[in-house]
Amino acid sequence: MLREGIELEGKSVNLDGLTDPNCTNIDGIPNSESLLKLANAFMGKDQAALATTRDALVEKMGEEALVDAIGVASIFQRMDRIADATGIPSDGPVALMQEDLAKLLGTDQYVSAGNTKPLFWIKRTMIKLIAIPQIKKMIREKSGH
Amino acid sequence: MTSIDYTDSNYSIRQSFADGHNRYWERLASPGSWLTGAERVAVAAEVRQAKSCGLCEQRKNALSPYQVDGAHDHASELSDTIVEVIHRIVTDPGRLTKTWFDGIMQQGLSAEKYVEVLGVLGNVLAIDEFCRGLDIPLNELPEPKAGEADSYRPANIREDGDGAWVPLLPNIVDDGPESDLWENRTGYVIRALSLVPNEVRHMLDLLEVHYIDNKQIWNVTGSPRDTLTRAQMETVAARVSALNGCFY
Repeated sequence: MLREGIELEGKSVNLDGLTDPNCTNIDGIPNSESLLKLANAFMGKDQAALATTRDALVEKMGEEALVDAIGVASIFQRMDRIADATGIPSDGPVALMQEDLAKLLGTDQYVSAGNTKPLFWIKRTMIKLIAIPQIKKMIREKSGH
Repeated sequence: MTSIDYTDSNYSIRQSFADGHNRYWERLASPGSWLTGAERVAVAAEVRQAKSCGLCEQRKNALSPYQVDGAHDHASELSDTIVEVIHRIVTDPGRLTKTWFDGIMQQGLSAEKYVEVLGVLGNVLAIDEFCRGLDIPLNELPEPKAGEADSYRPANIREDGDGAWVPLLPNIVDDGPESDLWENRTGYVIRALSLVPNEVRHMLDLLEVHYIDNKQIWNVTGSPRDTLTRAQMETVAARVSALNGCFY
């Protein structure tokens, strides 16, 4: 979703560090440093660190942005568990669209990545030729581009 | 039970959060499809208990959670199997395996109950985590309402799970009682709880409150609010998911 959105806006952003907790800035995403530090602290156990990152984010982006960022973080605590606990695979076309990014970010090594089985070459080819262009068209239309 | 109200919190919290959380608390207390209101509220209590469970802490720190035996610190009268489901999913979701899931099924828990427990667990966790993240005291759990579960099971379930561990609805549901769940076709993560359709409805309601209306999910440049861009929202989501070890 993130990469598709960035590309549709005609931008190019290096997402290398997105999943690395040591990376606290993504060039091209405004205030990513405040957001990533907040997400790291939210996922940790140090409540004082969380308070510090909350204050920093409020200073940069305001209280309402903080509340919405915590809203997103908390709902993904749920969505991740629903995905992991039901053993769902990635949807075929989306999995193929993200394949390079998953390798780059190392997410293909997660335990839950094993729930997505490799596709036979015929199905891969059909998805690449037919399904992915359809999804990209739908994304462009839904996004008003 | 007093209704959920965030107006006295340290931060300016839009009213839709309190409204959405109140709607969910009402649903939490009410009988579901496979659990009574009392059982649903007990699941919520167990979600909170899991965070201080000694066994879960040891397992989380072990190279493999299967190396550590013992009993969970219970907060409820739920069965040991349901307690194991709740505690493992809350505290160590990134290392759940099909073998673990099959073991749970072999202990006699039905897939329907498993899915409803997961739905309740997820929503309670999201609301509790929202409070923790903003340094708000956890909301008092609601008093369960009387009544029996309705045992509703959709007719057109794909029993093989279509690649998932649990049975679920097809990705296109054009007619019938579940046709309101999503438009056209949808992804696995929305279908995941569809063995218990009301859990999908509850999930989507809270999804819109916290994140985005599922109907707008493919609008990848739009944001429902002017506080965060979609890219900023996805940045937070991606980091949280990475730290949970979630591939999806």
